[in-house]
Amino acid sequence: MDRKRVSGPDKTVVPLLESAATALPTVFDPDRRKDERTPEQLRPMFMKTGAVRQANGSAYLETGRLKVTCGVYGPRQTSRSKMSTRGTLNCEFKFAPFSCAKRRSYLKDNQEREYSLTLQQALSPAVRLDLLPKSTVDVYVQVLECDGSTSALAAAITCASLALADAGIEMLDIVAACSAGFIGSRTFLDADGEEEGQQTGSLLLSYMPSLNEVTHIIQSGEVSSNATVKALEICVDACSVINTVMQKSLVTSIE
Amino acid sequence: MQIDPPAHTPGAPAAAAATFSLDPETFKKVHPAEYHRRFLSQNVRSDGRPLDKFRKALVNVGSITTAHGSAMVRLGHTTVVCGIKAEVAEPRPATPKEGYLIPNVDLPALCSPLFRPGPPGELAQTVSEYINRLVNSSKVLNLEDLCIASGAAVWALHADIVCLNYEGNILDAALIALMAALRNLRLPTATYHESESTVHATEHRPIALVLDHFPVAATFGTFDGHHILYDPTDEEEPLLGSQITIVVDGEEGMCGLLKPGGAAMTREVLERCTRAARDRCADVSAAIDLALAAQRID
Repeated sequence: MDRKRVSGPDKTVVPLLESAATALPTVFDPDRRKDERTPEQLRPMFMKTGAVRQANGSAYLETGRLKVTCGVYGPRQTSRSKMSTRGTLNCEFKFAPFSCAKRRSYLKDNQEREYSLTLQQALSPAVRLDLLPKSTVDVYVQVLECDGSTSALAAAITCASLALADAGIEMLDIVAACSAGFIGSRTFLDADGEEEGQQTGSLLLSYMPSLNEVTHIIQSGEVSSNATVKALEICVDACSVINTVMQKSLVTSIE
Repeated sequence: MQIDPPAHTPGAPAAAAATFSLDPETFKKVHPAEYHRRFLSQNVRSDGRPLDKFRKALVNVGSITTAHGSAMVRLGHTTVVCGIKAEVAEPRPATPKEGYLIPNVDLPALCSPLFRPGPPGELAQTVSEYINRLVNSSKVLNLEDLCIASGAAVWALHADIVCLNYEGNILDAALIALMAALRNLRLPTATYHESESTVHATEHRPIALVLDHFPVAATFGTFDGHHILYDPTDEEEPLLGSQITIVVDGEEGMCGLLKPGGAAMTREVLERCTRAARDRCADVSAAIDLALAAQRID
């Protein structure tokens, strides 16, 4: 039991939805999305730097109903007195307790642990850690509202990279990330929560748009190799679109 | 080209070298108390406020759709988000009709370099515990309104208050956010099926809660004994001799008073702070009313 927080009853459950029992399951068609997007269209995106006053760098990102905020602290001295010629990038990914359909606990679960690791793997190739010996850069990401978990991770990577740029930490390029979903042989970009429930697989691409290099790919689900290649292509194009939004918000922050 | 002669007399360079000067940012870091004292002697604070002025409370409700009720509150740069999730739980055997209201304040490492990742620190724990005691003992809402089926199922309201940007006075901000989110909260109509012992809820959320009280906290700090600082910031907080939080409910009521040790305080100061807290209460409830009205128009 967690004694450091106000604890309620031992077990709480989400009530069953009345309409869910009666409604027929509808099959999702990427050509007819609820918000009238085309399969290769992202949700509209808003980004802003300087969301946390005391952080060295910070950013806020909103796309559709998805809301992510990120704070970067450092470079600061590594707490363990271990000598290393390279800096470390410490990433923590957290869902706010109220951000998902079911309430999340404060304790880190396996998904958050996996996402923290992905975040670190996607960002560290871009950061000049060789210039930061004996130092740590802490990247904290908090998801305030989640609408599709893979797209939340993509948004977190984009947001964190923007915050790193805001902190003035030297990077080779900013990292833009984008997710794609598969349903049968069809591919579609940026699945929201409802679409994610129906997809048979997903792909997440982290990409440095100016250098034209990939930092991280993760794909799950059974799909043909052709579909994967096609998904990579449309993700690369989408990352370039995200890049222009990132550049614009960075320019606004300087003006 | 003619070079201008130096403006000072020959004796001046030696004098300039003898006076030691620091730029304001360095001075603030080296002598924080003296830095603030210089401002206060001019009756102004380092953020430009007069001593007896609260930061304006900016409230926004209903922005988190995954929560049953939500609010975002800003006091200066201090930003907190409260999201309330309603889930179903078994009631306590002693109180078969009463639901639960479980407030928790989280100060993640994201919001300030003062906090570390991991389990909640001392500040987060005390604020959570105080707010929990406050709302549950002053009967902000009738917990029996949260009953679905007596002895079998009740609503448990998890009110999680997350700080996104820390600039001091978390208690005031957290309580405003909690109260605004409670007013924004809409519960679905729920029915208990005894045969399967399950609870079914509608997707539509029509039920608003009746709030019997409306506590608003106002925090004050004393600096050097005679300066009273309203709504202290994170820079001022560590320098204060004592802090006092007064929680009032409208024109008459008083819900709580918290003075966690520190320097002694006279009765006059206490009375002055209580009056100021009443004014603050009116301003805050007006701000919340405005936010709720704005949301209804949307």
